[in-house]
Amino acid sequence: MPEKANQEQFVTLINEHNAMLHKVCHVYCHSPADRQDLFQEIVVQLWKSFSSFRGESKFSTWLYRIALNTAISDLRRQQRRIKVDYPELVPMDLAAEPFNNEREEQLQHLYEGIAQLGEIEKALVMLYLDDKSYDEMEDILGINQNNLRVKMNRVKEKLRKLTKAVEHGVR
Amino acid sequence: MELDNLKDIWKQQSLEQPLESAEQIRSLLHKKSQSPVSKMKRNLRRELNVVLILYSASIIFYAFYEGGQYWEISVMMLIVGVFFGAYYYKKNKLLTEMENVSGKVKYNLETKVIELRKYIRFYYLAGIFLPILIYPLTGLIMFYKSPLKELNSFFGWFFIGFGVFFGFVVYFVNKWYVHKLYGKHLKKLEDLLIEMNEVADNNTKMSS
Repeated sequence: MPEKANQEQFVTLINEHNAMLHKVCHVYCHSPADRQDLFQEIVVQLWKSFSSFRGESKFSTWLYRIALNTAISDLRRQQRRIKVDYPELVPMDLAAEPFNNEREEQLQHLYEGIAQLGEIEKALVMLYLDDKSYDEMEDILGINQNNLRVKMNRVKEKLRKLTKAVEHGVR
Repeated sequence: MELDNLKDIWKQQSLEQPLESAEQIRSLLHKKSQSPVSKMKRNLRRELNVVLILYSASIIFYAFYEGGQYWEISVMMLIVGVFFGAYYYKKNKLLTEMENVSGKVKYNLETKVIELRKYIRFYYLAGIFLPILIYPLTGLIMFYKSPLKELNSFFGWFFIGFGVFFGFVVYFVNKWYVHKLYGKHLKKLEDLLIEMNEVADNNTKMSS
């Protein structure tokens, strides 16, 4: 019975943070099949570690750590990812679909810009876009705040340039 | 697009993400992890089961075959089996340490790099050591338990010569194979760690 209650609590928490998990999958995987695989793997890893979650940090912090660790260090999926050194090969499947509105197009440009960043930079950008504080970022990434600020400034500048370039059709 | 604008776009998409049903999430909880480390652990367990079955059967067979005339083979297999047990224990321990993903990202990467290096070194040494242990033991049994001992000394020298050649082949093939299996992965993890440490290094340089 406690196992069942635990499971239900876990399912509720995952549903609450579902969007965040999908964002991680979207940032780290290009094809829908890879995204689906990564989503499943993250949920499995979260469930495996759930019993050890003591509430010392926020649930979203703990969840981010596991999701990013799974996405970044998954050795198998890394080989399938398209190398961002060749942005013309980045297969954003969304690009093939017509945009419904301007916002969707902007979102597409944002993802294309992010796709050209390094794996760690992607994590930083996600945390920035999700309005995480430097305290939380440090707790998730393990990089001290001084270093985080320096790195964040660089990444923000890089992202600004990349999204502008994508917007103007320069890749 | 300015960054604040990007933040708005990013946040608004939260509302559009597909929501898995509770049932779909529940069904995922019964799935096995497909991470490479978990797969390696499962393969190792299968390997252990096969070795346990085959070795136990062979040890019992040679211990009693022809009134126990070939008991030395049983002893040899037992020695190799003990080494395999230690090999299994060490490999399983390293994989279990690599499986943990709940730490901070930087710590997780550092741990993975360290553990993978240990794993590769261990895999490499075990791959050289086990055949080199088995070869002379097999030779001893052949000389003392078969009519081969009646052959001239040429065979003995041939056996030693072949052993040296075999040792070289094992060394180079093993080195190539281990690198082929894990070299790229280790390099990728090391590169990620370098990317993560980049800022700290730059800051140190600037302040010095």
